[in-house]
Amino acid sequence: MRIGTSGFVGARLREARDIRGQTAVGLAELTGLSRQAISQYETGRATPSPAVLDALADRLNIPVQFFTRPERDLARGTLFYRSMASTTKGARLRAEGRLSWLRDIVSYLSGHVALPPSNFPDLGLPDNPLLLSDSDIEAAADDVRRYWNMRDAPIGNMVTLLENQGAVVARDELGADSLDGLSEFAPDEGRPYIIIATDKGSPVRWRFDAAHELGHIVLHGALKPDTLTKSAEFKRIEEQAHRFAGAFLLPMTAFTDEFFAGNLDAFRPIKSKWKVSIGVIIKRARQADLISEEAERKLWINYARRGWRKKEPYDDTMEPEMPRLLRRSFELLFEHGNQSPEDVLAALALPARDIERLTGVEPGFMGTDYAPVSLLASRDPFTADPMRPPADVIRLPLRPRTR
Amino acid sequence: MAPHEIDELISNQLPEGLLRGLVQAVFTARGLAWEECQRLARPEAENVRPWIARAHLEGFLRNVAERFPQVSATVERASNWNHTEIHAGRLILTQNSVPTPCAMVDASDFRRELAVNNGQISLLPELQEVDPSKFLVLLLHSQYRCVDPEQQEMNGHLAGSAYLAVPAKDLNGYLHRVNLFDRFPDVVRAQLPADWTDAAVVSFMGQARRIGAA
Repeated sequence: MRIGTSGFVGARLREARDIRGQTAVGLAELTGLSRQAISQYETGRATPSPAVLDALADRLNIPVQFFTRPERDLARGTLFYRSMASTTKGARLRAEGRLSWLRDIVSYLSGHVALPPSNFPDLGLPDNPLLLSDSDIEAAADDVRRYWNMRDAPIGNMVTLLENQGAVVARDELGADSLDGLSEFAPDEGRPYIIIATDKGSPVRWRFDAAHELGHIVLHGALKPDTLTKSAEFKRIEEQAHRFAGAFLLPMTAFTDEFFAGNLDAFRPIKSKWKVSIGVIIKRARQADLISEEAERKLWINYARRGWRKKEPYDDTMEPEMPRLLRRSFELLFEHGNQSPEDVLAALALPARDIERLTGVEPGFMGTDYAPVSLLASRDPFTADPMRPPADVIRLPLRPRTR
Repeated sequence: MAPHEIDELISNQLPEGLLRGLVQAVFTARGLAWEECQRLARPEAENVRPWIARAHLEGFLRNVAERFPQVSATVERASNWNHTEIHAGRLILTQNSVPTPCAMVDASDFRRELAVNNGQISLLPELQEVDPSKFLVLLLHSQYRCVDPEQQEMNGHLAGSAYLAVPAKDLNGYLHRVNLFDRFPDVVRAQLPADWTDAAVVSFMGQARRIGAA
């Protein structure tokens, strides 16, 4: 008689496989199962035995408990992928899965800590973003700055700004060079989620990615998932989010004041000050009509000749902007909230390393490697009584100091 | 030519945006040179820095000029050395680094030639080919100097002054000077460290006014 696993949820196996970037055939090979067996488990036509489930969990590096969690029932908003057309469906599924895990983590944290309320403006823009002109987008970027009481000055930390306004931001490797990030406005929470892909890029590029996702949130919040069907329409909303990001990070009026010459070297201090790439500065200069089309073309040629397509000046010296909200939440939870890493791992049934990556905490923060430590008898007033039993061993987590 | 006439000539022929751009260009060129010489030992950095700043600034002059249709820029070769000239109506503008605010520049042949009509038309027969309507204006800029070596290390990349100066035809003095820092304090402030106090800015602007001070 075959023994299955009670409570096994096939959709969870599919999710785990997507997130790990495994095909059904690949997982079958890794586990010694047939592709058909994997398919039957995923569609609920069969359940794996405990031993097989252990093997699946081991190969996918996911706790066994994950597979017996109820099927995910997230209220999904429109997902915006900042990606090139070459991004595979698998890469998108993986990214979407990572976003679901991030939402799980935030859902858990929200039960214990008060996260900043969402404070993103509704600019009253048309539901159909294709009606938006470039000047509408420039105005929208200005409006968001005004809404958040920002001057036309450089933004110190784009990620912190978003977090302070209630967004959840994560940096994660999405496993695809062509995917720069994704965002979703979670309708049930009224809170935006942003994942910035760190597979490649530079600190200014990641900053721009964050601003790009902000563009989707404010410009395309009313967009329904099935509204856009043509690739040209997708391309247009990507261009709009790009335009917004440039306008938000480098407002036109301030930039016009800073700009004095269409010269790559003259752009270097602007990059240092505003923390935008020189590529973005070239585009902004053209958008502001500060340089001609011909001058822009020459700048791009010179830009490529200098090797700046691969690496621009200061890319090595600027620090990446790290999300802090979730890390701080966990620190608070562990210090004052009567919760431990074990509690979190048990509640979420997610791998410790994945939680660490998605929340920006140091490797080992959620770890379960402990060194036994005991209080010294002579220092412990409770053990001053010689009749009292020796001190209990307490277990302190080995985790790096947080900054 | 009276100072007010020179002022009028400059105002009429050099757009304000160009003058603002010149101040920005001076700061940027010096800042880039400072940065690029950071990897050199101090003595070599001091040797090389002015030339790098000059190279950046000469290029910037041409790029600034490109933005204004009434102005053009050319590269001229004199004494085996290239320099940029901005042409704006009657004016020819070239740039020079000077050790102190608005100090005198060397009386080089090419400058002497360009300045031949500054003041009065030359009677020298060998210079008759020069267009008598042309008028030389110099963009003079100097480095910011701090008494405290630590401050100098932090702020030595700053320009300390920028002037438009109209030399006399024999280059033994200036007929007129325009302090561009005083004219565009907002541009200057944007180039200074954001954490400088108002008093520090006032002191900085004061140094730029001390013409001839060491």
